[in-house]
Amino acid sequence: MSLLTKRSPDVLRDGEPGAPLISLRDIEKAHKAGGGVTYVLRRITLDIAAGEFVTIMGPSGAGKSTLLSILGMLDPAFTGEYFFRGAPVHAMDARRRQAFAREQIGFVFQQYHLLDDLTVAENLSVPLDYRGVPRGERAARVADALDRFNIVGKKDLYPSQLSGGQQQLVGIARAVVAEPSLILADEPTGNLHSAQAREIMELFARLNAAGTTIVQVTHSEENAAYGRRTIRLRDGWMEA
Amino acid sequence: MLSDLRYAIRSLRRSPGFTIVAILTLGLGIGANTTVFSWMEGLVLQPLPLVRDPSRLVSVSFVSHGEPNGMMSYPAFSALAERTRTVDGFAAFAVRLFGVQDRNAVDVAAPVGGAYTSVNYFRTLGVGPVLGRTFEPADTLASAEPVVVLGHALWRQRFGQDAGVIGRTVRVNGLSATIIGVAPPGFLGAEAGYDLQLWAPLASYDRLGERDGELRTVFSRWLTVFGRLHAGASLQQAGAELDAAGRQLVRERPDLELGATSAAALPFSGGDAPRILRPLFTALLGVTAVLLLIVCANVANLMLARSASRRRELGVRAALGASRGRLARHLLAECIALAIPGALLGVAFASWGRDALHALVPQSGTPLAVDTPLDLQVLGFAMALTVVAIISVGLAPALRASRSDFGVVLKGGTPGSGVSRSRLRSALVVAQVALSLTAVVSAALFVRTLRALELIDPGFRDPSHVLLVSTDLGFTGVRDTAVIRTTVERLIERTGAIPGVASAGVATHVPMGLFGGNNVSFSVPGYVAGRDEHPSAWVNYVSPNYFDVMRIPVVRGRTLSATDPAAGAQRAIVINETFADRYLAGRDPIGAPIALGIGDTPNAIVVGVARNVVRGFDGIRTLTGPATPAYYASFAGAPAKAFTLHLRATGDPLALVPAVRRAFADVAPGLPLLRPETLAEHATGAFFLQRIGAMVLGALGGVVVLLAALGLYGVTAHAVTERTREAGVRVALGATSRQVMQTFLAESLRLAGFGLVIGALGALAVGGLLASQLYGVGGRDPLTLVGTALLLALVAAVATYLPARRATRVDPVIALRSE
Repeated sequence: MSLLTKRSPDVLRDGEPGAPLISLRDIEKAHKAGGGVTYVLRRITLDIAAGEFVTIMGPSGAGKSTLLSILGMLDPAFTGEYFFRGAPVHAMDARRRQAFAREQIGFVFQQYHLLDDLTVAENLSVPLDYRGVPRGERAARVADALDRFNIVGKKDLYPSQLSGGQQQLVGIARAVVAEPSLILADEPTGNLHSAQAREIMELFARLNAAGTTIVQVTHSEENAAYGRRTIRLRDGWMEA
Repeated sequence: MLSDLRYAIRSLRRSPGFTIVAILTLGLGIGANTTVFSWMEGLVLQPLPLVRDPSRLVSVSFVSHGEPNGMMSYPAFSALAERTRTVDGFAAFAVRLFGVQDRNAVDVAAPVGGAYTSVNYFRTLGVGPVLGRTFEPADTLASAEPVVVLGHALWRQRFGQDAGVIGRTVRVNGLSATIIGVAPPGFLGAEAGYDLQLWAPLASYDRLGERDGELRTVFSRWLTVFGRLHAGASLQQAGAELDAAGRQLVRERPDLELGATSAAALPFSGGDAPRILRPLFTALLGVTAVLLLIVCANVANLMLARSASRRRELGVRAALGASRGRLARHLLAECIALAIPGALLGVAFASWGRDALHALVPQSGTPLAVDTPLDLQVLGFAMALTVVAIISVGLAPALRASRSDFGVVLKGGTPGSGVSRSRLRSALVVAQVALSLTAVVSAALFVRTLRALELIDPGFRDPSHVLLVSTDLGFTGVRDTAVIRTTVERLIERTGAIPGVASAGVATHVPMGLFGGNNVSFSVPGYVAGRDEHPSAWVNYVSPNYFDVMRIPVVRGRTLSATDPAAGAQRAIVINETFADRYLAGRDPIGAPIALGIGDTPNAIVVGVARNVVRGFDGIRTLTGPATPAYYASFAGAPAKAFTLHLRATGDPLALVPAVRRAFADVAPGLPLLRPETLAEHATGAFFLQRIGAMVLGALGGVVVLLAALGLYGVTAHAVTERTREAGVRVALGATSRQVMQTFLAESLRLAGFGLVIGALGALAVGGLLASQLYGVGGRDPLTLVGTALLLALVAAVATYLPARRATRVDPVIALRSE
């Protein structure tokens, strides 16, 4: 399937038709500080449907990145319930959760986080390698991604040889090459100037139009406008 | 995995400083361990190459006063061999030096280490020839011509590896012998540590050997006897059978082994070398293990620092779907990428180390085999050790890093070092310092021991001006005592006339060598020996001016003279002080009659008492303990084929060697010069074990101190980097440069202090274990401990001062902005 091919957001691979892709119920996260407990997230309850483009906004310390970590199954230390495609993530052991996340989720980071010792093509190959995709198929899918994102000419370059915008482009390509159900983007344009930022957000819009579910964290209202829905957090609470 | 390795190499190339230091230190650690392990394996653990199943071999010996006698006479060997069933074939051998010339005897006889053996020697060892055959009963007939089996190296070097050598003749000790076989490559005989390259049957000893009648006399115990346990028999069974057989034999033949009560079977260790070298090599292996620990701690510290910078990468990989196992594989690849070049470098170090052993072990008499091969077993051991060590110290802390908070990664923050990682690094530095102190104190104790040993009065003076040249007239077939006497007199005369030679003499034994010489029983009229006392003394047969050449003071009476009777009842001898004090106490020793050998009839008279001289090496007690009784007799009275020419030089003794060589060629064509060296050089052989210990431990001690210093430097530098903000804040709040620096210095020196305290405890423990090998200094010598600790403290201070000074240059504005 082409990375940018439109797919119906309402038809799920599994789970009930029409059921949300993500369902959070009373998610809370706290950590001990001094003699007491500090809450980072308080009773977060929300649903995200497949094919949505959701923005999470809020001031610093609101818990946005923490929420993203939980959604991305990187942080298991929370209370409450988290269902992904009907599967109870909160009840999974570490190994199963990791395997599940590997199949379902792609990350785009503010600081790109490309692997410095790998070329562009090798960076794109990493998620496929971790998913056990055979070598031949990996090469084909990487080639396809390079082509779709118009970065074939840069496939043998290292991240240090790319501009910020180009690095983020590669970061997005890396996030989608394994065709995850969900893209999580943490301040994807935070280190880019406005022109580059617009290009990246346009790309996200195209991906979403093709059926990819996207959740982004941003401070930018302009970026938030690309999304269909905005969730605002303040002091760990969801604002109504 | 190959791609992981490729990426790991690529990553390491971007950090050349870390990579080079890690590989160098690993190479050092692996090389040191590999070297000592190869020595251990070749000389102690598996000292008999190519011998089939050496664990089934047993050493056979008569027992006297509850102790095994060791060697036995040929008649005793023959008698005992007939009476056992659990030992499958008795075999016997005696190591000797042979003079080998080509069949025409035109070249100088080359000294070749070898052995006289019983017929079944090779069969009992389970070693077959690569060419020809080994000995058969027909070779032992009185009418049989002498035959020999060549060692593989001798065949290769001297006979051009010619397959047609079988049946050819060669001159051995001046006599024609037929080559019947070639031993397999690597086989060096059944006496560990010797390079034996020629074997002759015992039956040909009289014709080729040095002592007439030795084969038939019961008084000469010169054979090492061993056997192979019969299939299914145990050592205990063999011991019981031999005990019974020995008891019966000594009852029937009391003349056979005087003083013996039974016989015994003991595990066959392959001679004295394993026994002598085991404690030293074990100690060295312990030290190199400590070195490897320190090396690994160092590399672990480097990898911990590196893992801090890789935390982001590992977090990203985990976010991209890498499992813990996959992350472990990435890190393992880096470990392997360091281990392989480290191991290769270690092998190179080990090759050099093997040659160093060659240089450290003194040559004396029969050539020594110290070519310990770097075989796959040794290399595999070192490699496995390294990989395990690296994985255990490199992977664990890195995996901890892989469990880090990925929120840090998502937020794009700079990952902190983490309290637990800093603690681990600090613990490693403390361990390094502690181990360094232990190792350096051990080295210092050996160095002090060596110094003390070198100051021991050997009994002779000015050894650096005495040239020693050994030889053996038997190499050229000279056996007639009159010919020996005449030849030696001519050699003394001829070499004494060389310009630069002040005086010349000969002796059958040189003091402070590796081996002791001959021991002779005696009795003194009027001296009543104790119940279990069997007086014996070491004898040195010397020319009259020997004491003058050696500058050994004669404290009473006079030295030997050319006119003294060399035989008969008035045979003149000079005894040493211990002999006089112990057996002639309370009377004038001059003129005292002595009965040398078996029997009570005096056959010698004391004409002088000489200062005690350190005899030979048999453990440190021989050097440092009380001198054993000894006497000097005239060489002319008992001319020996093997002797050492002593020349006192007015200048450099070694400059005389060419002239001495010409003298030999004039007097005795074909006679070889063996091991020309000064007496001073020879004397250092007496404490070669301590010398090896001091040199090796000293070198290792220097290395471990350097590594500990590097570790301290790294920890301090890392702390400065991690706490740049803190340093900036302190300066912004008014701290002076000195105060900022002291903050970092205090922390690192505190670690060093902990390490020194722990190290001191370790040094005290190790010193207690080393005490038996020390002299002039106790194992827990406070001066050594304190001095070494102060030295290490100074090194620690310098190592921490340099990076701590960087903290004084932090610009508070930049430091605070960077967060």
